[in-house]
Amino acid sequence: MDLKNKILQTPTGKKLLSEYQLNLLTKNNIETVLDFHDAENQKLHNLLAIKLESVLEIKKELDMLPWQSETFVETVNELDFGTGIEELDKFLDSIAQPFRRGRVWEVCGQTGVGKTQLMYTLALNFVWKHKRQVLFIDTKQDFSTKRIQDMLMERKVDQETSEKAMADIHVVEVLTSEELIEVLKAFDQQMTDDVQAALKTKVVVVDSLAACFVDHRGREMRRTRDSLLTEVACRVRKLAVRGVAFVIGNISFSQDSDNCDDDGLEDGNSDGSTRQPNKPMLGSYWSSVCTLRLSLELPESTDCGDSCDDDGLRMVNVMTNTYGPAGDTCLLRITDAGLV
Amino acid sequence: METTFLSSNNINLFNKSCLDILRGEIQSKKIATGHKSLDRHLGGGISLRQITELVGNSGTGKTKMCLQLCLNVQIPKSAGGLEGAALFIDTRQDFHPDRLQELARDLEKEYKQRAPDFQAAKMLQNVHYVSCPNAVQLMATVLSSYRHLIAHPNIKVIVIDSLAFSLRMLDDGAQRFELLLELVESMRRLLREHEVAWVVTNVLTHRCIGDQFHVVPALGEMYSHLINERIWFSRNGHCFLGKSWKTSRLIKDSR
Repeated sequence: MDLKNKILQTPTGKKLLSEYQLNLLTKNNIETVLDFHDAENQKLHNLLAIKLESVLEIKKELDMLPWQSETFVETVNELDFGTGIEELDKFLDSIAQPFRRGRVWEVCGQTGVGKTQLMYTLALNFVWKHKRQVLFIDTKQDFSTKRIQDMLMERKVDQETSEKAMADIHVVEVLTSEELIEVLKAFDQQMTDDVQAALKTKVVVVDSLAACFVDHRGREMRRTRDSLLTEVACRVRKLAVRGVAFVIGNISFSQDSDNCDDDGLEDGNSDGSTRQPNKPMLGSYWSSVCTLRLSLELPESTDCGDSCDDDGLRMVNVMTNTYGPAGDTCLLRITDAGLV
Repeated sequence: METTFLSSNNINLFNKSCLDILRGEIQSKKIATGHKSLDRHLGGGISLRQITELVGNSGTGKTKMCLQLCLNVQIPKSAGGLEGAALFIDTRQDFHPDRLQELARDLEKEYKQRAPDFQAAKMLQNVHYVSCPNAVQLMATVLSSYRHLIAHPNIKVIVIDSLAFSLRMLDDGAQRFELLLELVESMRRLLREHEVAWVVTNVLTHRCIGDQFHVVPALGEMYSHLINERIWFSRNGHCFLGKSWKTSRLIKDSR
């Protein structure tokens, strides 16, 4: 039904296709916009007995149709998720790393810089735009519905829409890395078993990976940590191949502070390189796992000193990027509605 | 490696959505701080099952807030409170019962209309006190705090005043870091099994970054990552909310 209406909304579809032809689509199991989009052009050409150019035209016009937010239309392009943050999308396109299925992202930054806010924004934007779900793995027992609610409120949406969005974000609490592995295993298993909810979940957010590895520190635990980390990485990659996108939070420490402080600050990662201003936790192995590593930083503006007027500006710095160049930066602003 | 976690086949990953949590939260109460706008920003007060840190220089009201929370947790259910009890872990030998009593009397007056049975004398009975003069005893107390919770199941808040104090007395930095993470770990474990809130206090210290000195909370960045909420206290009575000073938000209007 939905597809029929949609096609009739496109100028080419309306002109060329009759009721009979539209019914033919349904008979051939092409029932949603997505099915239509995925169907081969040649097949549609034969089936509908219209020109190949017209098929392409209809597809293009379908893509252009504005979707109605109240019906949560299936997104046409399921491959590209998009971050929903205009500025960031533009930036990521320029470095050949748009947010799409199978991508593994890492967001790192110092405490309080807004990593969680960025991850909430990504999760919310995703369930907002797509008829899919997000699995939020919370390692700090920190998940705040209030923050999600505040963001929704700021976007001025009605009760029903925001409830729908919130119902699509599933939260799992884990405390240790072993549990994290179990959760990822279970997710994988449930995808194999065709559990609906698992199939619908296309984005997994982990906030934060560092927190479940605090147990493992020092020289003696290093091997255990590395083996667990490898296991996590394998699980993540396995799921990524099946089309799940990951956003993983990690903490980073400022390295150029001479350790003249009064607190033992050793994170068990003495890899030797102190070149970078901010160094994420979890060692050098982990740094090769993610397809994109973003560092969220406070921009070095005019001496902020100890004043507290935070303008919400954050610099996103690409640390590593397996698909394109690294080292570029982009500015985002934290607002009450999320990052823009 | 052996955890009491379910095997991978029967974990239900998708039974708890954000909406479910929200609905659950409406029932579960928070501990009001008594500071109106702070409560509003925190969504009603300090959350159970979280670690909240109060940080500030001495004399900015951290301990007072701790004591206040010990009392506010006891506000009767009829008046919208939790009707719980509190455990106060004192590392500085700085606990003044008379200060607590003063605050209790104020609270009694405030709730006279709504809950006439809510009396200062009773409130003091519900604040359990443990003194931990050194880091080893602090560790032991935190590790065995579940026993207090079994003996007094209505304990809803455990306060450590101050977390930084006894740890900073240790000379060996590595040992201090180790002990701190061990403490936080056992606190986090307790939160999983019991519905309590941890409230800890911390102090500010100087750190040299580049060629500049910055005022930062003590105990390091890893620890900052592990706590859930940080409330800053400044000398002029203002409160700020946020993990790091530069990004913290001023909570306007004093209490």
